[in-house]
Amino acid sequence: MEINELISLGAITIIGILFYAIKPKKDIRMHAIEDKIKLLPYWLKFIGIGLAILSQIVNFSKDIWEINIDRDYTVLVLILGLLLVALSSEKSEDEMSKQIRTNSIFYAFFAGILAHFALVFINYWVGGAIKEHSSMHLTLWMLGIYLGTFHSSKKRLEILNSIED
Amino acid sequence: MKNTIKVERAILDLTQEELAKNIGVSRQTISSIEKNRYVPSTVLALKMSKLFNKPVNDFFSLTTED
Repeated sequence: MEINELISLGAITIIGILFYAIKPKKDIRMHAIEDKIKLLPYWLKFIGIGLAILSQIVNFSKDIWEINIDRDYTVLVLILGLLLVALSSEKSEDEMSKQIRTNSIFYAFFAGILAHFALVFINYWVGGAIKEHSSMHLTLWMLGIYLGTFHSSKKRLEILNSIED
Repeated sequence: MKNTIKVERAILDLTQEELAKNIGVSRQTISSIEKNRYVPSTVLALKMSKLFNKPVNDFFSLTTED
């Protein structure tokens, strides 16, 4: 088995485990909306950041170190890293941060749909040149919008509150 | 919606950090509630009510915009 196949198998397994962990229990009594958002522990955020940085180091230096790895797999590891960052809880996770999360998911979802439409039109104009990797880029784009909106909203609140304090 | 959390906090001589710790949220959440940037859930309002020993209506009130 080649390293590329091993990485893809590992990534799919981890994604499967993550989905199982965050999937809400199918108990009819558990209908409270807030209870359905189960996040991963805070420390997993650092593993996610580490994976994202590592994927980019490998991506930029694979020619120097002569590592035989497809660029798609480094992007896959980057997505996995960002996913871990997105799904892990904050140091002090409470109802306000969950509300900000929900708002960020809303923006990321519609930004994803808009980007999909944009890709279809751009692809039409450039004759299908960017069709190949669009799903990975779209995932990265949505994760980026989610993380960007979430952290910028939190920071903006922090700054505004500290100004008035 | 407006509130007088800051006043209630001052009566009990609590800092934002202490109040946050008491009701299990972050200091930023308390700060945002005081500045009317975030409307808390009923659960959080009732936790405050228990701590301040006052009905929720005493420190949360509707404005004409609501």
